[in-house]
Amino acid sequence: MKRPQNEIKCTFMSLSQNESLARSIVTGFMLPLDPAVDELADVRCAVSEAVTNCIVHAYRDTVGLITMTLRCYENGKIRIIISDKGCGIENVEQARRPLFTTAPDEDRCGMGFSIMESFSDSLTVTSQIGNGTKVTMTKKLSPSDKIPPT
Amino acid sequence: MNDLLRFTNDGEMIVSLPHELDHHSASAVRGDIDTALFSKNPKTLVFDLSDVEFMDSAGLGLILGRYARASVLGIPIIIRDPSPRNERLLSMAEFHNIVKIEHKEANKNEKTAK
Repeated sequence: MKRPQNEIKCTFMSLSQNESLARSIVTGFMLPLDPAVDELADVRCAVSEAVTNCIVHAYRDTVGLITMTLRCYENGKIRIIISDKGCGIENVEQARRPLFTTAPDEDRCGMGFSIMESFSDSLTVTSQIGNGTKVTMTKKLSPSDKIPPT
Repeated sequence: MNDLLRFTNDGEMIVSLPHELDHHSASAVRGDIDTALFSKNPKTLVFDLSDVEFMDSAGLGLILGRYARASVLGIPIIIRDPSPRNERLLSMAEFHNIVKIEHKEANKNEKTAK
């Protein structure tokens, strides 16, 4: 992988008020890249889903740390890695299926991974029971229509 | 943020969902919606999404959970004035099959004129 143009790594506690914090951080990271309105909204939503999963599922009944890494590359590609040290996912393939949820009583609709998948260009999920989960998403931003400084 | 709940004379219970509807804010409004739903027994439950700038699957879950409760009580649900983006999210979860999604343009103009 080529060297990123910019990189941010932050770690925060799995508290629900940090969902909006994570969205703010990714927004602040992306704004200088001049994303289209929809591209920014896609990424904000995908990040929100990944962070909410950590809070609701990975650290169910407990509080742990979530690490979010954001990288951008020269070709306009961004890479987002959100990882936790929580309970892990028993069956990743099943978890990624639309409408599948382990917590229907808690108003979870089972769309988290589907949304991450459709709002990014690629989604990779690796998980180990008892060791945590790592979600990696990439998205290529369309070239800005701004005239680059000469 | 608007007041969460409003009741109209024709029996609508209107829930004005917050500007940012995520798992955090959904958890904060869920209890109040359910209490009112059971105690006021409205004719229709309306989710007003006109102020919702951000929504993720927690918003879908909030509506779906209320839909389950309202169905038991025989109360139909209407989703009013979602943004095009939020409407796309609703259709991803196939909400158009179970609830009515409507647009009240006049209402919208009044909001933007504010």
